[in-house]
Amino acid sequence: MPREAGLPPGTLTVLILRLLDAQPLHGYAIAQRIHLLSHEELSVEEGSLYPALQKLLLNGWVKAIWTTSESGREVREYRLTPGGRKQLEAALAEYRRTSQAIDLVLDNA
Amino acid sequence: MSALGRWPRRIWYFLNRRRLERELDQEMASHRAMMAAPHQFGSTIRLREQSADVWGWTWMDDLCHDLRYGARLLVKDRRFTLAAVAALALGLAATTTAFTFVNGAVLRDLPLASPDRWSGFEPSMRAVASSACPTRTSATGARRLARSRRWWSRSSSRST
Repeated sequence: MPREAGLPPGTLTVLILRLLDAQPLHGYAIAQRIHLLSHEELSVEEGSLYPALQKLLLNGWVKAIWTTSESGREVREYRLTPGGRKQLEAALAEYRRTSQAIDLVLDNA
Repeated sequence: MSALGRWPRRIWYFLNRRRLERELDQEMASHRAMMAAPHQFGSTIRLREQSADVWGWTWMDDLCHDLRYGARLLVKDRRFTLAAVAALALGLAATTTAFTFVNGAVLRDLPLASPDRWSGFEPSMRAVASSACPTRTSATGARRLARSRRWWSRSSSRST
């Protein structure tokens, strides 16, 4: 069952930043890739995706540019900015630290 | 990212938001078109509102709506408008008057060069004023007083 409720707050932002670090993507492609890369375990609804993307734009972490997709469709592609890359690094470091701490508790309790 | 750094983008969004909202509509339309099951795409209007909320101008829209709604109501119901304006006017006038009086009589100093030196003047003001009045003591003053009394008795006898 694909779910989204399982994502801890702020995780979607990190996932999007990580995807855009690899390549520029449009909204639909972001949702698709999250779905595929998570082995269809995660599914991002548009209701979360678009507000999240707006938040990234507001923070200056991504830039949106209109281009034509491979299928010839007009799409709005999101690219990571240098500020976005810095934010991604900081968020990943924070995530790894927290996750390690949680693991330590789970393993040693 | 500091809140300060967001402000230029926020203002830029506000200035261009008609265009940006249109772009978001287009973007979501193309997203929907690419989906295998387009009907699963949520409400575009709700999504646009949620996205616009992020930029923090919703209060401005709400304020404009409220002002327009209020203006329409005021135009529609003239009697209510009149009553409201009258109540406001009376209320403002009353408070302004009360404040002007308290301000002049209690809060502010006397409009004199050194008001602190006049502090003993007030309790016996009438006594001091009558003794210091030049018309009672000087000769010209007495004459002027007599003349005015004469004028007064003449005019009052004429009127009876």
